[in-house]
Amino acid sequence: MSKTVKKLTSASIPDLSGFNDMSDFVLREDALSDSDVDDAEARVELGQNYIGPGNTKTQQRAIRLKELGPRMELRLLKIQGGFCGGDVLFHDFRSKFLLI
Amino acid sequence: MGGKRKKRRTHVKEPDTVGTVPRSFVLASGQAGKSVRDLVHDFRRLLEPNTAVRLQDKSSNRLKDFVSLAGPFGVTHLVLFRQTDAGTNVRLARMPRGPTLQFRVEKYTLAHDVLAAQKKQRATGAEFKTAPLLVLNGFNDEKDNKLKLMSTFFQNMFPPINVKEMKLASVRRVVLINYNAATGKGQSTACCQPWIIKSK
Repeated sequence: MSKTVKKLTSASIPDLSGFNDMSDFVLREDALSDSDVDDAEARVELGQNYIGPGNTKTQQRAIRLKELGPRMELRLLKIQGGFCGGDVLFHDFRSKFLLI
Repeated sequence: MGGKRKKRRTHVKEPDTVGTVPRSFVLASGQAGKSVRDLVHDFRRLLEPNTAVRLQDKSSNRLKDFVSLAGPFGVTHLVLFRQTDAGTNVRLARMPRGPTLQFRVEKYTLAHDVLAAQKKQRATGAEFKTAPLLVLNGFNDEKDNKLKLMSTFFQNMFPPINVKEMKLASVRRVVLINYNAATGKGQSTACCQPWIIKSK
């Protein structure tokens, strides 16, 4: 069950004033992003105390990741042997440089 | 008799990390627009605490100025962004002797925009006092030497971890670098993304 559906079936009614349609609430991207998996799967036993309330040793806690940025997509162009120079070991455009 | 009292418990001197931990300079070379300059600041944030966050670079500074400073400060890596007409490039170089890896930044999203897209925005600060964990994915092609070189290079940019001695509380962030091998027309790219670890 997704987080939003869980929220709907819980006792308290969520605030829907910011949405035009029910689907906007259920399918909103924010709830689906990050590592929101089912609680039972993501639970681990802490080997040491961790930061935050209740995060003490041997407690079963859910580990979540929250994106921080920046996001970067890098394509390798060139590898050189020296510091900002030297032999070209690899070049994406010129296949004759294939020393490695 | 006696002598001056020394505070040994609360005033423990931090061990000197020169030579044990990789340090870096992150710069934009030449003329760079606002977005690329923001990206430089974001990348420094990613490499914290072993980088010069408030490094001042003027247009009169040359690369060799930073290279000459690198030795005394124990700086081992240089990250050099460059904005060109064809696109933005980044060079990752090991100091003082290389190697140098040059990448094209195909796409990027600034940290500010990533946070703005999130509904719940979390105050950050303490997460940057310790180095992030590095997770590499897709680099395990044994035959491909450039992948091996890339993964070793990335690993050496971050401090080594000692599983037996490390404190769990010092692990606050993770940097994921995912290598997508080329499929069809697409290019092979390495995707770099930092995350905050939260336990609840």
